[in-house]
Amino acid sequence: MLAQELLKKIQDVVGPENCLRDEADRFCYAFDSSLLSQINNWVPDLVVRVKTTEQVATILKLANEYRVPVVPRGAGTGQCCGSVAWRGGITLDLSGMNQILSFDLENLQVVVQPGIVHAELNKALAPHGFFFPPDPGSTKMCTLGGMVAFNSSGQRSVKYGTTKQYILGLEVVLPTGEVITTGGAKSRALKSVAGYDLTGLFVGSEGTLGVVTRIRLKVLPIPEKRGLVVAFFDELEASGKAVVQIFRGRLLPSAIEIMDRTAMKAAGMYKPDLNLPDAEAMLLFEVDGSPVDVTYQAQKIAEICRQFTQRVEWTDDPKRLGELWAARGVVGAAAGRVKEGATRVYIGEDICVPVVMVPQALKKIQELSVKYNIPIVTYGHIGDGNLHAAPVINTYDQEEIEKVKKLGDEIHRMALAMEGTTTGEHGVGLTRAQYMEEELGLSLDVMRRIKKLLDPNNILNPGKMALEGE
Amino acid sequence: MAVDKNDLNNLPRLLLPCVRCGQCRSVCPVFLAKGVESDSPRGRMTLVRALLEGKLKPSDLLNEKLQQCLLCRTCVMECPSGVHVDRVIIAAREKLAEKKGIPLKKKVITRWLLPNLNRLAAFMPAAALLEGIVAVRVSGGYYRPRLNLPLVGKRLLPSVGGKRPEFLTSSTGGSFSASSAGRRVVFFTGCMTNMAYPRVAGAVVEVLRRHGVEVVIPKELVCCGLPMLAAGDRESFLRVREENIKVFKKYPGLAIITACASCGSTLKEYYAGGIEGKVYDFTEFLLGEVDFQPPRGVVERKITYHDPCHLRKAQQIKEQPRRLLKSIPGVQYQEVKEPDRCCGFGGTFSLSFPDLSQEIGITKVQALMDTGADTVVTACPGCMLQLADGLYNRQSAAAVMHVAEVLAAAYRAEERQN
Ligand SMILES: Cc1cc2nc3c(=O)[nH]c(=O)nc-3n(C[C@H](O)[C@H](O)[C@H](O)COP(=O)(O)OP(=O)(O)OC[C@H]3O[C@@H](n4cnc5c(N)ncnc54)[C@H](O)[C@@H]3O)c2cc1C
Ligand code: SF4
Ligand code: SF4
Repeated sequence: MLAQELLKKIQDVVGPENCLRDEADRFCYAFDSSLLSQINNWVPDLVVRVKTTEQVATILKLANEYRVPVVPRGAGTGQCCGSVAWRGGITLDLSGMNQILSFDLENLQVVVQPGIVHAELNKALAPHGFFFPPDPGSTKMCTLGGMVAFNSSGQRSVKYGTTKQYILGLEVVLPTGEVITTGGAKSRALKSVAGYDLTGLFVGSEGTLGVVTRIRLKVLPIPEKRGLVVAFFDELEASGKAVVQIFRGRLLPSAIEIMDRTAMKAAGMYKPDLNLPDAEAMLLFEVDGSPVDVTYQAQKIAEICRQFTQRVEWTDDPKRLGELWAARGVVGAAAGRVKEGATRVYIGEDICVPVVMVPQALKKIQELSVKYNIPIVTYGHIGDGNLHAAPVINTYDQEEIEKVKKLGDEIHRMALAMEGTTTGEHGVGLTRAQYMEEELGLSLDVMRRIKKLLDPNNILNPGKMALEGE
Repeated sequence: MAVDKNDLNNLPRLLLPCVRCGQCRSVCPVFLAKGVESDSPRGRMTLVRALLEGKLKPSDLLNEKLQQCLLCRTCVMECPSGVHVDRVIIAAREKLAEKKGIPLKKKVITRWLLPNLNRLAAFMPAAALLEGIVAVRVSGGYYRPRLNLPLVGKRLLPSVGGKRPEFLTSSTGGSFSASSAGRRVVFFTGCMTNMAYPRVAGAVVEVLRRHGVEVVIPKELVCCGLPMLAAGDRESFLRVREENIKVFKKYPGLAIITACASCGSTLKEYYAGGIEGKVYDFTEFLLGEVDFQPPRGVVERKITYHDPCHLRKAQQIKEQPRRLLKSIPGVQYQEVKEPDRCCGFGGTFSLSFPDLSQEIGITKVQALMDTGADTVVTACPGCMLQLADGLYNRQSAAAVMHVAEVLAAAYRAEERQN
């Protein structure tokens, strides 16, 4: 419970209507998409909806003074409990700070508030011929603040990279209430090496070092055209080899996606008219650029794929493109439907391994599925080795929950054994904190020292990312 | 959907597929207006699950959150996991009603007013007399109450004193046969049409008649029951359903036509198994079941069309109304931005939460006004009322019509030309 005095002070800052105190209201902020948050009851004591940097600063100052945890939250679509207030305290709902503050398109940049939804930003940019390239599957709902905090990415990160490549500067409220601007207090420059890269420090810091209240983003012109190559493989290994061969052929597709047998089956069950053939794996390569370039690249990719399989198709017809992408588009939704009376859960869902290891990882996941007798649908961004495994269980069944926790653990350990990482884009939060000692080694200690420096009283998103140590 | 197999018992199963991805946040009109997670479909699904698992106790706020859903199904269309949010909400309301009972205002509507509408119609002339006293007349055949009226507040009301089609004169029902040749159908007019828009019923009969269809409007039909279902009052719903089914049985095998999206979706889904005849929306019937003859009469109107949620999202009827409108000579058709965005009416939702209902409506109304259309057409009398109210509040002179009315006007023009 929050001290009445503190509550009163916060109400004075944001207005009582923006302080959600009722249990039913708070309950709806007790989760993100992770399984872990679903099976726990981590309800914040108070949800505060903020509108301005000043409000955020005052609240952090107060929280620091009263030693109350504060957890920033965008849309709550994260998958590792990042925005869950597991120690109670205040959940800071930033989704209402959702304005585009300035368009500076001659200078390839825009300034936005953190609550803007990714798809809304791209909708506003499109008429000007620009886009913000990182493209998470959660585009319709996730916020830019969440993307910065997790350094999110998506299918096109093969060519366009992750969120951090596009963050030119941030306004951040520190846990002690000071407001700083990284990347140059007044800068509109597209690059700068003045000072430490504090922008880089805050991107990916999962809301543990500061609350992002303003984001200066780089944007790019929308490519003129897109094309797609689809290939079906009889052997998983062949699909991995094809990808390597394509990079060797000096080609850089904008996306390379893989669906293994499980994912193709799920997609086919959900949408039979997709007419997916029988195969061990399906690869989708997207290329973009000028019309000439798209044709050239697509044909080259198709040619290389033919060294490994004869079932290759390429298209630049937008209608066909849509149909072919549709299979990949539905797989996340389709996963939960492979077993009656069960649903997909987010656990062990984000490992990233060296590209060449992808076929082996897929095989291993299929073996784990048999071992635990839990259906797993796997798909992912083979272009950068990022795999999404979707176990399907009955979440009302405690035994299944215990089983899937072990399964998730094995998937994470497998990734580390393959010289990969437990998380390619979804973040550490609580669900992967236990692997950080092993994964990060001594640098975790440096992270802890930085945390201590910026957040001496450990009030901002405490206990996440293994920052507290044992 | 079998009504007797109560969704209430099925709730855990209905909730299971929700993975809390939050995609429904991007479309829910209530969430977009209010911005709080408990107003999102994901939030509501979580509340229901928590209620079921005993993690939350029923409370005023929880109840309000579950009542504040339009049952528009926008989220259902969007949800990748196929969660039937509307069915969960209905079942949850039932569960709450079991514990807390149904509020008096709702009870008056669902248990007394709606089941007896056809009997009340005898008082229409008296009500018409009152109209001029309690309300101010505004253009288009509407009245604006001078002060907050019981149940309806200050929202725009269509005149009940206007001229009613011949078959609706004695009561809201009244048996009526059109031509004697050709196909026979039962026309389920529904409460909104009976009380607020008899002119729409007139137009439907007129257009069907032109296609040689004999229309029967059994006097004894009552409310389709959606308001009762929506209130979590399944008992009352089953009562009116039974009453209607008894009437339908007198016309074995006849197709049942509605021109109200909400009645249509309720009959199609919740009467399944109870009725023999197939249910059609008026636009669906016209283009699928008879040899539609495009009118030759000219209607000089710049028209835009609003998709009723219960037509597009519940019945997947999207193209038919547009094709019908575009078939009319003289009609300039202008598509509106986000045509399937909910108007915010939601039946009794608009009575329980008038301000929120209007706030949601504003986005819709503004988009409709931006098209520059002089006529806003839709295919549900509920939407008609909401849009008329919203347009009036924004000082728009645009008329609001049902698809059937525009078609009827075109056929009338054709007759005049000949
Ligand atoms: C169906 C689905 C598909 C997804 N696909 C992808 C994908 O393809 N790629 C990908 O990378 N991710 C994906 N995600 C994960 C998730 O959507 C992203 O991580 C997203 O960026 C989270 O944004 P959010 O607004 O929901 O943040 P939240 O979940 O609310 O918060 C995420 C983290 O950011 C912190 N935070 C939020 N706002 C701020 C702020 N203003 N300042 C400081 N810290 C803040 C929170 O404390 C938390 O630690 C997917 C999720 C779902 C449900
Ligand atoms: S209802 Fe559907 S869209 Fe909404 S959170 Fe649940 S699964 Fe996602
Ligand atoms: S049915 Fe409509 S109002 Fe209700 S939760 Fe879904 S989108 Fe929101």
